[in-house]
Amino acid sequence: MPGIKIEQVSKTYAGDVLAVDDVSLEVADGEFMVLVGPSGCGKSTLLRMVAGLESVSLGKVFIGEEDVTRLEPPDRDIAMVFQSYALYPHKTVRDNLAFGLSRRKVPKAQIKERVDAMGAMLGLDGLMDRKPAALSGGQRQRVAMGRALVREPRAFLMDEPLSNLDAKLRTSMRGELARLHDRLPVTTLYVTHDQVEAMTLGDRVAVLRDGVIQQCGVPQEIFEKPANLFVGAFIGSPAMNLVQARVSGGEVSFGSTRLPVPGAAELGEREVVIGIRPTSFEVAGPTVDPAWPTLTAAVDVIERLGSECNLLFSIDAPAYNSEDLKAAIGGETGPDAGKLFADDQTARLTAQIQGRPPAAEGSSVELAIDPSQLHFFDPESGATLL
Amino acid sequence: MSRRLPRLPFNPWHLVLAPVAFVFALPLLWMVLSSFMSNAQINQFPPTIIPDSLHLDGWRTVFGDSQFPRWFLNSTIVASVTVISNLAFCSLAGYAFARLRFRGSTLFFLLILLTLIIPFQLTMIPTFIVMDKLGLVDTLAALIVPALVTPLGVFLMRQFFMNLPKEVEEAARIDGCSRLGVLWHVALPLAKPALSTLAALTFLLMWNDLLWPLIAISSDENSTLPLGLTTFQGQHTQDFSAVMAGNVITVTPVLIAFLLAQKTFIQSLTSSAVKG
Amino acid sequence: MAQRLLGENPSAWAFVLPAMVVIVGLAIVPIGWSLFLSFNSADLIKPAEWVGFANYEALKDDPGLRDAIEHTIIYTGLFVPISIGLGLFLAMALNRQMRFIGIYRTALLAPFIASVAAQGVLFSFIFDERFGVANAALAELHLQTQGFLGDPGQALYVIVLIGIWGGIGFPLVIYLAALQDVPRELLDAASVDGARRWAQLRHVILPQLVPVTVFLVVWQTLLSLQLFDLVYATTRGGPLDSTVVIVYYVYNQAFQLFNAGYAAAVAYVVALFLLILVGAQLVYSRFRARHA
Repeated sequence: MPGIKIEQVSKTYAGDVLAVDDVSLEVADGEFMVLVGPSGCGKSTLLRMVAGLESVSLGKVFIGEEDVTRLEPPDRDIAMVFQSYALYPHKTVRDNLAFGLSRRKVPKAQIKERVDAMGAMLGLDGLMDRKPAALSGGQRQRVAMGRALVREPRAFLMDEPLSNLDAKLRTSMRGELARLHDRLPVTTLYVTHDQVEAMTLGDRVAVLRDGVIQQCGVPQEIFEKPANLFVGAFIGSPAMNLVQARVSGGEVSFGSTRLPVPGAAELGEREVVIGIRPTSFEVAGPTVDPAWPTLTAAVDVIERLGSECNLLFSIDAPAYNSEDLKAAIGGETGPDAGKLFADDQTARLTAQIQGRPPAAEGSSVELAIDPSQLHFFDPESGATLL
Repeated sequence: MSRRLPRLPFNPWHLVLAPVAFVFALPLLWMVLSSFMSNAQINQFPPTIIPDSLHLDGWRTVFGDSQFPRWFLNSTIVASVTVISNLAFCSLAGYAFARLRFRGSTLFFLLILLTLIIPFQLTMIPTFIVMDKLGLVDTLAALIVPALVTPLGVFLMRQFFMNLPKEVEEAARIDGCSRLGVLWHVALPLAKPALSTLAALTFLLMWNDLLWPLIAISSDENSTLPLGLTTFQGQHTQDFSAVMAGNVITVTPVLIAFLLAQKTFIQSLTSSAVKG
Repeated sequence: MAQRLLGENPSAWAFVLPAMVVIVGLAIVPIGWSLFLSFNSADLIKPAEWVGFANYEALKDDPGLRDAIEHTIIYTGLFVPISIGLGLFLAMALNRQMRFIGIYRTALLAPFIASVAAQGVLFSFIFDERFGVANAALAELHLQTQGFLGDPGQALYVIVLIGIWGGIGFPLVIYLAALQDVPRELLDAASVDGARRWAQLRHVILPQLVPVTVFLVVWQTLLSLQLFDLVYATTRGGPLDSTVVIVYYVYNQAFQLFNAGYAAAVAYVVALFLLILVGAQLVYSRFRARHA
């Protein structure tokens, strides 16, 4: 029995704006499913349709076995955590936690028991009689979670609950959320624009773009086998390097570089966009498989991160840009996108190397590429070719 | 499963709002209609909405044989002058209180707050005495001078300037602007919403004021519209169409301004409330 | 040197000078002068004579003043709750997406824009005993015609009615803005938690409206305690002094009966009461802010 089932759901707004386009998704009972995508991709709209806060234009929504498509939110037995927490400002923490239970006519004694237990579990003991304005951001977040948990609903819906926290707190809360889900495996649908959150929290991840699901799968699969260029560029940080290239007879060429890639032979002769994740580079040397293709990188900037470093280098090839890339990474299209100086047209790539920098800025370094981690995309459609 | 009530072809709230809105609009409509009716027509009920003859005597009296044109002019002068002076002086003072540190700023501002709270009946008698001593009683100056700068206006502009992000002004200072220059080149252009609010409120208050003109003005020539209207009503108790015509004249300018700039008016009301 | 005298920004004084001259000269000074007047017997023509507290003593036993206070309180007691309650109801009705909303809102706000004097003149006519539309309508419906503004028992209440007609625009507009400020997410959260429309109103919307309501109560009360224009434009205090209110009483004493000193004393006592009212609201809002 699926926890949540979204069946061919579409949402159209006035003026024929199609926010969600024929989306079908199944979240297994107890599964933690993350909806991820850039802003405006329709993930929040989809979530709100599952909650009942937006009406469904076409399709059906099931929670448990029940068709809830026409039900109002109060009747769906779901709980939701909002980005801004939406705590009732004039109620105490205790009353905030108790509100949903009192709406459902749970007997007062039981409400008190459950609320006290939840307060203890989340470390809110001394704060129960305070109002939200007197709490810190992290405390408010816990109250928002508590309010949802104490209801013991059929499903949890979370709309970017960590976005309002500062970076360090966000990282630790991610871990807390994961532990919470282990302890209380309730079916959860989680929306975020942060792909790191998606990858770390999700049992499965669904990537959305312009209201259409691009790919749905376990994080590892999304990372290693992106279904198209958009997914490849969106997931992973630093982002995947993309270069326009030509494949011919098992050799990939761009600019003045020729890379022998035997696996590419089956593509025949055509234009492609190749994708190389920064982590797919290694410094060429005795420890590296000699069969790996190499290229010479003129290092522009080195970002030292302590345990690893990012080498920003340019190659003799034009910078790649397209609608897909813009949608995945954000920013403007056009030759000047992401660049400070308008006359800069060369491709700039990033390689992530473990340990200390192998060379100084301004010098060259020989980089080997793991051919099994090379991605080939169709330049027109963005679909993965290999 | 929740039940859905059968849907009407239109929103049921129309059934409440439409009659209420009609009842509210009715007196004003009646005011306009009856200015065109003869005394005999006025008494009929249900009233003939489209009179077969437009009875223009009331309007003729008002335009030809009364002081209404003069009163209209007076009201316009008083309102325009005070609006302009308020825009200028309240911006200056409000900006100073918001952005400049100077000795006495707290004291002065407290004084202004105090004036906001004091009810008019307390100050009206001495203000009259002051005007009398200045020889301004029964002149338009008596109406204009006390209203050249209003405490509410200073308060509004100060609030607004305090909420402007400082960065733009700081950039101007670094670029070489004097304080007055910053106000003129940077702050004021950004202050258009607050200035329209101030203009709308001041205009409304000055145009509609009755009590102070009643105290300060004794002659017919120098009356403003609300004062003149009540005097006229006292003198022409049976000439209803004329009185209503005068009423229309008194009310129309503000109503037109309101209809043209509804957002500004509404904003001026809500913003002064929020600050209160 | 100028800085030492005038603080960090001596030029600021120039900015503030016009405002301070007008406000201090024509608002602050009169406040003190009023106090001085209240200890005098003055008729604005002859020089004033010191009478000490005689005016304040006379206050206590003045039946005219007592009536004025009573009338003012009746007006306030009716005007404030009705204008606020009705204003809230209409604001909630208007706070939705539907056609003609703009027209409804304009119709409800327009009376507020018209001068109160003009409102008074208009309704004097509408409620005129012999020629007014109100009685003509009643007669047509075979109901008893009324004295309205000519009836000492009814006049004050007719004035209340006119006041509400003209005054409802303000609470309406304030509540509309406040309703639109209620965060959408809060209502969503309540909905998901199981609250339908009525519960949302009780648990989310009304609590959010409390500060605005407190403000409106104080503001409308201050306004109605200072009622003048409407009385002057309709009944001039009659019939039989049944509509004399406090400010009208002060005006009458000072400028018709030339008892400026006594009028000042009355004005002071009333002003004191108003100050207490405002002070109470300030204390209340500080209290709420600290205990939120």
